[in-house]
Amino acid sequence: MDFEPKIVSFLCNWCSYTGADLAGTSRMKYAPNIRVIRIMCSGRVEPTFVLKAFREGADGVLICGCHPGDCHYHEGNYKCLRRYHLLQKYLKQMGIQGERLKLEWVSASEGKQFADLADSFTETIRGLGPCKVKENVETLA
Amino acid sequence: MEEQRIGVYLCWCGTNIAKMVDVESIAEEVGKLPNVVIAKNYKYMCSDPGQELIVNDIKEHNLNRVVVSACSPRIHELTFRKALENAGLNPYLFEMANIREQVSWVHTDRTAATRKARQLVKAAINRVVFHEPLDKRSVDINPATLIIGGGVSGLSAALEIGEAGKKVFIVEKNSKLGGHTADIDLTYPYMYSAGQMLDSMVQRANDNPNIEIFLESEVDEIFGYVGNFESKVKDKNGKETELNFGNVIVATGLKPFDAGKIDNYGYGKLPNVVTSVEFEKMLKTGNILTKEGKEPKNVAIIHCVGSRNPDYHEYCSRICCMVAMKFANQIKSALPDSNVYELYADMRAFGKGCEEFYSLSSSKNILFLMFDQKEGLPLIKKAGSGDNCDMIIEMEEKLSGENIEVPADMVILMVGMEAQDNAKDIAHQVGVSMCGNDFYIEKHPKLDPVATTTDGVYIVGGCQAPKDITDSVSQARAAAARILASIAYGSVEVEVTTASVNEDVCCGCQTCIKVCPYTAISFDEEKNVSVVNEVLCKGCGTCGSTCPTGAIKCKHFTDVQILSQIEGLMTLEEV
Amino acid sequence: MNNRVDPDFIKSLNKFGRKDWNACMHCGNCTAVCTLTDRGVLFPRKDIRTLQMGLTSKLATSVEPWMCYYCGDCTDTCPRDANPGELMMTLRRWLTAKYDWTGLSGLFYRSFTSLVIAFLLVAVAIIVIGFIKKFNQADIMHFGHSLEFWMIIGVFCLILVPNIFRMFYFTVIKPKVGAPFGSYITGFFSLIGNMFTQVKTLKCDKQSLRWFEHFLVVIGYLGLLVITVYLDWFGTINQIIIYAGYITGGLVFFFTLLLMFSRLSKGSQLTKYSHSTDWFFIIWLFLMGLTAFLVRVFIDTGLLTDHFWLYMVHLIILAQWGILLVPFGKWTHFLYRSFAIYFSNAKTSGLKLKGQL
Repeated sequence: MDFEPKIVSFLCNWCSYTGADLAGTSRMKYAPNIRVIRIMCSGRVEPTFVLKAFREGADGVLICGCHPGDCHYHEGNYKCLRRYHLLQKYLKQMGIQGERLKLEWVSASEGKQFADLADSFTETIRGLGPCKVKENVETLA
Repeated sequence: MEEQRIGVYLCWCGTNIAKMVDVESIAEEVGKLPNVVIAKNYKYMCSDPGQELIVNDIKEHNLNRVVVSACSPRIHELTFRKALENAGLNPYLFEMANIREQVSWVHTDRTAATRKARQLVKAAINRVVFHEPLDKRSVDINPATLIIGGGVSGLSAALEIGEAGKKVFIVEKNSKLGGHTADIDLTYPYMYSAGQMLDSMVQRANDNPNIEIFLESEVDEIFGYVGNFESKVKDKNGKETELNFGNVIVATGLKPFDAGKIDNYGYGKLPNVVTSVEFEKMLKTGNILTKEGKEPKNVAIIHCVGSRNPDYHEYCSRICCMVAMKFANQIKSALPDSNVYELYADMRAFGKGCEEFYSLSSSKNILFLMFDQKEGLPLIKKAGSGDNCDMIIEMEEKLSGENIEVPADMVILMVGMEAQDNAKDIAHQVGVSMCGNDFYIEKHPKLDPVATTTDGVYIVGGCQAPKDITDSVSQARAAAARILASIAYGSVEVEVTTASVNEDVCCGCQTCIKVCPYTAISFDEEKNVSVVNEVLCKGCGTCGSTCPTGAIKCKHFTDVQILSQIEGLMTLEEV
Repeated sequence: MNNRVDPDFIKSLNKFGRKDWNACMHCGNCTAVCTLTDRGVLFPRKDIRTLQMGLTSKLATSVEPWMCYYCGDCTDTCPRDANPGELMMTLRRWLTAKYDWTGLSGLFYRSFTSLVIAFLLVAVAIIVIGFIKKFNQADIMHFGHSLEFWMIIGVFCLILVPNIFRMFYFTVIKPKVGAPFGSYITGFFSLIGNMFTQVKTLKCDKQSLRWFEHFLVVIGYLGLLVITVYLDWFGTINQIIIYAGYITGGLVFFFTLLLMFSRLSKGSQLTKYSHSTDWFFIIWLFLMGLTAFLVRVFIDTGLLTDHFWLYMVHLIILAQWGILLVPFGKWTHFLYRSFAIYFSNAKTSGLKLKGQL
C-alpha cells in the first residue's frame, strides 16, 4: 500500500486558519493528509505539542502563523519562531529529521498559498517516508 | 472528574459536506465511543430546528458536553454556544470540528475526506472532555470615540455620533476637513455639488460641542482594549494631547495612483495629459482649458490607469468609469462642439441610476473606443506640426480589431485608487490587519464589512477598499450606529479565554512577564509569583507555552486539551 | 489608409437613413443571428463599429453591405433597438454615393430638393422636345424609341461601368487584397447567375415570397425592356410580341403595386423605414409598367392619337427613370450586389492563399 503521510498542523486563528478557510471557500483542492488543530496564536505552540504529535504517529508537523509584523497579538509569532529554531536542534538530537517540522507564515488572504503548502509539505514527507518514532517507542515499551 | 455525557452532531450542510464526507457512517462509529451518549447527523445544524435538536437533547439526555462537526468555527461557533446557553449549559463546554472549509470543500477523494473528517471529530471529542465552564466578563465602555481621518467618511461618522450626544475626537492630518471630496465639483449620477454637501457637514461638525477636531495632527500608538483605549495626539508643533475613548473608527482614505509610472501615457512629459484628480480641480474653477489656455476641441478620457493590470494593481478601482462618464457629460455641456472619446477597457456602471447615466451619455455622440490591457495600452504621442490637434493616441480598438488614431487636445487619465503611503503605520498603531494591496481587512467581507478582528476598531470608507461617497457614508454611519448601540448597552464583553497562574506551581522566574505583548502580567513581590490581569489579557497563549513549570493555564487552550486533541487526530486509523 | 477616427462622420450619415448610431453597444447578436454571414465576411456589427469611429476609407472597402438582403432578423434581435438592418441599407446608399464618380447619387440622397429639381428638369426637357417636334405622334414615338436605346447604352458606358470599376478599386485594389486572377474567371458564371436571380436572398429565413415577388418584377421589367426597345412593342403588329408585352408590363405594375402596399403597411422590418429614394424607385417602376401597358392599350383601341398626352407622360417617366433613377438610385443594387459577391469571393480566395482563412 502506498504510504500516506499523517501530518498534524497547528494553525493560528486570525491568519493561517482563516487562510485555510479561504482555500475552502475558494474550493481549492489539496492533499487530505493535513489534520488541523486551531489555536489562537502560533505563540501557543509549545515543544510538548510537537513531540506529542510525533509520539502519536505523525510523520510531519506543520505550524502556521501570521507574517512577521502582522501577528494579531503583536509578537506571538516571533516567540514561535524562536522556539521553532531551538526545537529543530532538539529534534536532530532525537533522531527526527528536521524537514519533518515546518514553520510557515500564511496570512488570512493567502488561501492559495495554504493549499500549495499543504501539497508541497505532503510530498516532502512522502519523500522522507514514515516517521519511526511511534514504532520505536512502542518497541522499547 | 464528573461523568462525561457527550452529544456529537454531524452536519450535512445540505450537500456541501455530505457530498464528500460520509457523515452517517462517522456518526455511527463515534456513537460507539465511550462517553458519547448521542451521535446524530442532520442536514442543517445551524438552522433553528438544528439548534433545537441540540437544546432538546441536552435537556432530555442530560448532556454535559457537545461536539458539532460542520463548517468553520469562525462562522458558527457563537451560534452553537448560544444554543448551549439556551439549554442551560455553559457555552464553553462545546467544541467544533471543521469538516467543510477544511475537508469537504478541498478534497476530491471521498474515502480520504471521510477518514480525515472522522479523525477531526475524534480529536474534538477527546478535547471537549477537558473543557471547563467559563464565565462571561464585561467591562464598561468609555462613550467617547476616536475617528482617524476627517474626510467624508470620518465626518459622517462624527456627525452621527456627535449629534446623538456622545463625544467624538476627529484627528485629521491635513489643514482642513473634507479629504478628497473637498476637491470634487459635481457628483454622479445626479450631478449634485460635492462642495455644498460637504460645506454643510463641516459647518455642523464645527458647531457641535461634542465634536473636538484636531487638524494637522496625527495619532500615536493606541493602547488598551475595547471600551477602554488611550492614545496621544500630536499636532504639527509637537504639542501632545492625551485622549481616552472606547471605540476607534479608522477613516484614513486612500490616494490616487501615480500616472507617471506608465510610460505610454506620457504623464509629466506631455503637458496636456492630466489625471482625473487634476481635471476635477479644473472643473471646480469653472474653465476647461489646455495648458496653452485654449478650449480643447478633442478630449480623450482613458480608463483603468493603474487598475486591472497585474503590472500595477490587479483590482478594479470601482468608481473611475462613472467619474469618466460624469466628465464626458460635463465637457459636452461646457463645450458642445467638442469631440469626446472614452477609451475604456470595460464599462462598470454598478450603482443606482448609473446604467441609465451611461445610456444617456452614449446618446450624446461620445465615441466609445475599447482597448484590452493585455494586448497593449494606448500610446500617446505629440502630433506633428501639420496636424490640427495637440496629441495623437494610437490604440488597437478591440471591437473592430483595427489600429486607429485618436486626435486629442487634452487627455484625462482615470487613475486608480491605492492605499495611503502610511497605511502600514496606522495599521500597526491601531491593530488592524492589511490585505495584499495594503487596504485594511474587515471582520467578514459579507456579514461584517465595517468591523475588524480587533474589537472596538472599525474601518470605513476608502481605507478598506476603493469606493464612492455613497458607500463610504453608508459604512461610516453603519460603524457609528454599531458604536452608539454598544454605548447604549453600557458594557462590552471581553475575552474570557485568558491566562491564569497557578500560584502553587509558579517558580517566580518572570519569563511570562517578558513575553506578554500586552503587559498584562505583573509580579507579586510578596508571594513571588506572577499575576495575570485578566482584563488586559487577550488570550494569545504565548505565556502558557513559555512557562517552564506549566503554572500558567491558558483557558480553553490548556495543555491537556490540546494534547488529547493530538491523540484524537491519530486514532481510528484502521476503521 | 487613413485610420484616424472622425466622430463627425456619423452626423453626415443622417441624410442617408437612420440617425441613432450610438445605440449599438456591440453585443454581436446581429452578426450571430444573420444567416448570410460567413467566415471572412462578417456583418453587420463590424461595419457599425467602423461607422461609429468614422473610418471612412475602411468603410469604402467593405462589400458586406451588399451581402445583406435585409431580412430584418438582426433588427428583431437587437437588444438596444439600434436597427442594424436599416443601418446596412444606409450603408448601401452611402456606398452607392461613394462609387458614383459624378457625385449625383450622393447629392440626391442628401438633398430631396435637388432630386425633385432634377426630375422637373428632365420632365421639362422632354416637353420642350415635344414642342420642337410639334407633338407629331410618329416623330415623337420614333424619338422615344431611339432615346430608350441610346439612354441604355449611354448610362451603361458613362455611368454604370465606370462606377463598377470604382467599386473594384475601392474594394479590391486599394486594400491590396491580392486576389488570384483565376478566381475572377471561375467566379464569372456565378456573377451572371447572381445578377439575374439574386438567389442569395433565399438563404435568409422566410424570404421566399419576397424573393419570388422581386424575381417576377425583374423578369417583367427585363422582358418589357427587351420588348419595347428591341422588339419595338409600340410599333409592332406581331400579336405574339404584343401579348408578351402585355404580360410583362402587367407583371411589372401588378407586383410593384403589391410591394408598394407592403412598404405602406410596414409589415416587416425592411418596410418600416423608407427613405424618399425608396418611394421614388418603386413608384416610378409602377408608373413605367402602368403607362407602357396603357399606351399599348390605347394603340390597340385607337385612342392614342386623341390622347397622345399619355405617351408624353410615359416618355417623361421613362426618361426620369433611365437618366436619374437607374444610374443614381437603387437600380444599381442589381449590379453592385452581384459584383460584391464576385469581388468578395475573389478576396476570400486571396485570403485563403495567404493562409489567413
